[in-house]
Amino acid sequence: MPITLAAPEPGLPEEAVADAFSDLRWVDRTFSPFIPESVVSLINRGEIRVQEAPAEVLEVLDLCARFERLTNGCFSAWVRGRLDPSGLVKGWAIDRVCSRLERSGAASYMVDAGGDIAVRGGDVDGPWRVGVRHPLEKDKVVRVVEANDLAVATSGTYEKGDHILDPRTGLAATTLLSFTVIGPDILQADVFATSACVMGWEEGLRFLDNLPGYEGYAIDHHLVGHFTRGFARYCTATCGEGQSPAASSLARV
Amino acid sequence: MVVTIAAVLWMLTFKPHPQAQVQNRPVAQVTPPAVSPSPGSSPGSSPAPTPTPGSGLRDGTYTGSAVTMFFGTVQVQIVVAGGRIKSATGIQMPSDRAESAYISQQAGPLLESEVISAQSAKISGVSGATYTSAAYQQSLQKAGAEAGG
Repeated sequence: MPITLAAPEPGLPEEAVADAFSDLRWVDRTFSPFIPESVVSLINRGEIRVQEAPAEVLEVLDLCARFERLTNGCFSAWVRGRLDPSGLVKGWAIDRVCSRLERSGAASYMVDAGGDIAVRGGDVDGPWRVGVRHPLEKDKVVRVVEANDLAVATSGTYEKGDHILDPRTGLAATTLLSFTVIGPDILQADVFATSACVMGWEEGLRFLDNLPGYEGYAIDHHLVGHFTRGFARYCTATCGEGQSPAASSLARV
Repeated sequence: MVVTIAAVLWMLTFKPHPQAQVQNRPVAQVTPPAVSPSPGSSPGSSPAPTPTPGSGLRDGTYTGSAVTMFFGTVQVQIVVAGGRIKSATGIQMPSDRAESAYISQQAGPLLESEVISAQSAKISGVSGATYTSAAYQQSLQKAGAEAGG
């Protein structure tokens, strides 16, 4: 998973960048279900109990439980009896990076962790511009979101096999190609994008419609886009805003 | 002049596969001193499981079982030479299935007016689901098992 920090001149303090990456490596070692020695793997093998986990792991699991309640079980750290908090950890890790950068005095920066993006301040010549990837063509974007301070997270099933599982059934959620969530907080945007993929576009957009500050953009498997009412406010005119019959949106809700 | 300082870290273990980095502007990529990607983690490296030397892989070409993805099937072929995996190739891609062709046909009329090339969009980043191809890895592991790995 590529992770990029970007900032306009004069850039970011070197020490803060090194600290941020050092923290990301720690997060990876602790939470990755693909590392046999990670705390998550130890829990899954029954070598330690959840209660014995370090404080940060308990914090993450507590957050997961809260989002599980908020999403009526569409998000969960536990699927098929196994612990995998990855759906929340990426956003949580980006959030930690942002906090470090803020503490170091950085006013403008972008953190991009595998397509989940938090921006602050602005780019060299105006607001940050973040593209939303075409779910089938990876060098194309279908929307450009423009903002100074925003989180943009996308979940999807393209290229991923049966990767997003419905925690309620243990089966793959396959109704959407991708679901993009924008909002003030990267952790929540990330979790909501994953949850909304499980909910499906209608329920997912309704869910987001009830969350102040968050907007959603779903692309179903016919490549039809569906939006919450406020999503267009963040999009630039250069990206076909409002031209498409696909922009049916959830405005009637 | 646009100057962006970027630092790139490949965290391969967190999600198992690398994704091509999308950069739409000139960036100076600075790897922080403390970051040392593990061997084989360079961008675009094959996600093949690394066999330990002398792992007993028999030379030959092995084909993993097909794994069904969202709208297609992925099958992976590995070539073992000198006891090491030399190449891993996806030999059956999602477009093989009629269902996928149907989806492709729908792509034009519905999204064409919205789609722009990432290169021309003047953007700083692209939001998208991480490429993690779980099905690919699953199939690869089966092909590896067949080779005696």
